[in-house]
Amino acid sequence: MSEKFYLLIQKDTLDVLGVFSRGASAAAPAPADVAGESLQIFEAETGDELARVPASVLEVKDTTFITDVVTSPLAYRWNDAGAPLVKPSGMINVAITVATGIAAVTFNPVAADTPLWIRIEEGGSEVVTQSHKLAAGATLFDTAQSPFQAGKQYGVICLIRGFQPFINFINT
Amino acid sequence: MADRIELPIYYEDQILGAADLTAAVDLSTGQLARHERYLHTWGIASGLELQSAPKSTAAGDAYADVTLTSGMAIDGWGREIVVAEDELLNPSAFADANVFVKDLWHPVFLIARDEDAAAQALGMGACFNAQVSRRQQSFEIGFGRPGDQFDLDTQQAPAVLDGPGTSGWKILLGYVKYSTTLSRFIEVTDSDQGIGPRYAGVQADEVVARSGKLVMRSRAVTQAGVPALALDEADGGTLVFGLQDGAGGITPLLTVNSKGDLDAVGKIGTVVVSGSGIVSDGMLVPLPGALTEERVAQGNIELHIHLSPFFTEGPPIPLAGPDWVMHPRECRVLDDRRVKCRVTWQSIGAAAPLVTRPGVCSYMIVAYVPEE
Repeated sequence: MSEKFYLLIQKDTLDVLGVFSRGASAAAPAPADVAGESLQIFEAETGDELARVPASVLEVKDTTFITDVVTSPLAYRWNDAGAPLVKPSGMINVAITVATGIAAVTFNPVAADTPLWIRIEEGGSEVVTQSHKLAAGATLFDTAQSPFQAGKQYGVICLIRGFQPFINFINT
Repeated sequence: MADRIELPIYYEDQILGAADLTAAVDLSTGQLARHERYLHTWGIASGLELQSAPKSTAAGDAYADVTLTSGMAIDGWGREIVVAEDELLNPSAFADANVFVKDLWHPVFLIARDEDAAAQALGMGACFNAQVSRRQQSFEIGFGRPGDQFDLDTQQAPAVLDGPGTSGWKILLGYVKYSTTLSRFIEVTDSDQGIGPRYAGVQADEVVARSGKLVMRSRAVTQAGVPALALDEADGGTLVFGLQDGAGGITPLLTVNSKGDLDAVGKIGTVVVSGSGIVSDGMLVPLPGALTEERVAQGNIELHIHLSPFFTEGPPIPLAGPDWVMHPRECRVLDDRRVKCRVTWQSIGAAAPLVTRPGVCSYMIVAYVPEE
């Protein structure tokens, strides 16, 4: 098959967020070519619009066709050696507290300067978008702000390099 | 009517009657008529234009003398109609036709007509026989009511064995307007409501050249700047569309060579570009070729997108076990080319909950792009 295979990754956390291929003769596309202004993340079970990842924080990487990456793209991250690598099973847990804000807790302590990217939307509108680098050994990230309201449903994408992504709705 | 064509034959010492000789003539005229109507289409073969000469009365009222130029036509029965000399249209004949409608165009027709010639002086035959022995294949110029031109294709067609006949088949020459005040024609045109004179053509399922080059021209070979089409064996075979140069040649505008390469001097009206591959949930279907978002945003581009679920062997990470099957749950493209694809994984080897994940689909995208 005369086509090239690409991954769409978050450029800081290196999480694979999408896969695609196109004819080999075509030039490698920019993130906006395949994401638009933002990559839309749908909630898997319901298909509802959960939140978006702006094209400005995305990057396109070309690689070989790997069946497992196509089957489970979100389970992979880009490797410094230039290939997708399956992530450890470590999870992130995210909680929103109306009074105090959002807290992301990792399953394991992280290495120094571990990138984190978080996006929270409500009803299709951006509420929080933050990039951050976690200190060594940290397991908790606190946004220290609370634009949240009670009785709302927030779509949350939380990416921390080396961890399985948190992509879910949180009801306050 | 005979159901066979009869060829007259003669034998030594036969006393030939008029019918014997007439049969020989009828045979050839019938053959010619059948050739003309079955291997050609009826219409004007040459000349036969209505030409207007502006005139004015002593009182200063403008009118026109209308002349039918000489020429030849073939009617729907295959009959040859020859107008040997330019013929002035007679306004009185128009008035007699009783077809006048004020301010409207009236069709002018050419119709074949046989006329007995005057008896030949000193003709051979029975003494004092004054019977005619010649028939003139003549014509008449007829006038119709406005709109009669729409009935040209409903004229009575001949039977296969028929000769040229005297069917009264009408061949449209053009249109005139008439003034009852002046009792003269006042205007001429060659087309009304999209219908103009019809020109004789060819009925053929195959046209073969003998020189290795077949040319179709919209006008005579010496007329520069009018289109022509040439199928030429030269250089391995080419198809050329272009304009005549007035010296028998064609200036190419579009050429297809024997490899199928297309060479156009101008623009190609629509370019079709296509692409295919896979794309995952939430992404846009990649545009094909060099097509850009900016170009699509300008509009006037037609996109056709087909998606189908891309089946892979499971299970998706981190599920385990060998016997997982994928079921498409949703696989469609949204208005902005965004893919919405979800799949549900089911374990058929062991009891396990169903798991729904973002999916990947195969896409085919075709874009019709008007040339700028």
